[in-house]
Amino acid sequence: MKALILWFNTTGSPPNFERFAARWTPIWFTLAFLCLVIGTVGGLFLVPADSKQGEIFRIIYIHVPAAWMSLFVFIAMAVQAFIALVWRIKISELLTIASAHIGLIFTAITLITGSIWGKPTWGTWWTWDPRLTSELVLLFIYLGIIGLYNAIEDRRSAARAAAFLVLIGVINVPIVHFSVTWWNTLHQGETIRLVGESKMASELMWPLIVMTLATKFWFLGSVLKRTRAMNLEHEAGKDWARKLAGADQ
Amino acid sequence: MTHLHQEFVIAAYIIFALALLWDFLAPQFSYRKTLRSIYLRARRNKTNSRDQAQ
Repeated sequence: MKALILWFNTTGSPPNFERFAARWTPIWFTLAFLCLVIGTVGGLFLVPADSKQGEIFRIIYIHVPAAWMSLFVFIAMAVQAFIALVWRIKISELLTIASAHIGLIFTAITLITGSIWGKPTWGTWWTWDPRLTSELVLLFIYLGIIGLYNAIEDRRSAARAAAFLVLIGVINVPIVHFSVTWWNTLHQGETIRLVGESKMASELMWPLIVMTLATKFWFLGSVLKRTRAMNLEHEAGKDWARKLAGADQ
Repeated sequence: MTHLHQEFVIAAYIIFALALLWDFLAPQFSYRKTLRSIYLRARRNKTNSRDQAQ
């Protein structure tokens, strides 16, 4: 545990983080690209069409991993926000805000691809169903966090205010997840389970697992890349940043 | 894919790809912009201090 805290503190210093992110970002993105290509080819061309939904079911290979990510990123962001508020580690503040941008993108993908799937399947682009509505609320919370961060001039105060909002907003995560159980919804219930038997045919499952891995790797690459950019912006006046920009030559 | 709704599937995948492309490129542009502004600011400061010394 002591070694982990020491590692976190060492890596968390801005110049060390720059080196750490520069090393790990391409690795995560390479893994993500590989999985995205394999998962997309598998999802679009290799698995058979669903017996009930036909070809339109192929949207689930992007919709479901994106929906899982919209919740996963929020939880990861809440952990960072907690660390930022309790231990006041600057990199954790930046990781929180970087995560908010990625979460926003995955939530938007979820809503748009869900809407595209809904039109031919339900006959409507949108309905005020509990799952859809709580996911839309999640999108607004992500927007609120980013907006609040940008509205306050002092970067440290802005990050702390945003972190508070993250910890309040995390209450929506179980609401989104359990909305299909708690209320009568048009949205289908849990078909895929990590533990226990899934309702989805096993031969249709592998692209979904690959795409889920792809989105996880993507998040790791993207959060490092975004935090690296913000870290440099915040440290623009420091010697290490000037050296990196080649300004000391 | 030889079935109705093919265009819905294609549209969804295009939106997915564009969103990820944006997520990939936006921080890259921001990082390069910051590096350039640090470089230009340092050069301007160097020129100013040289002018004052003369």
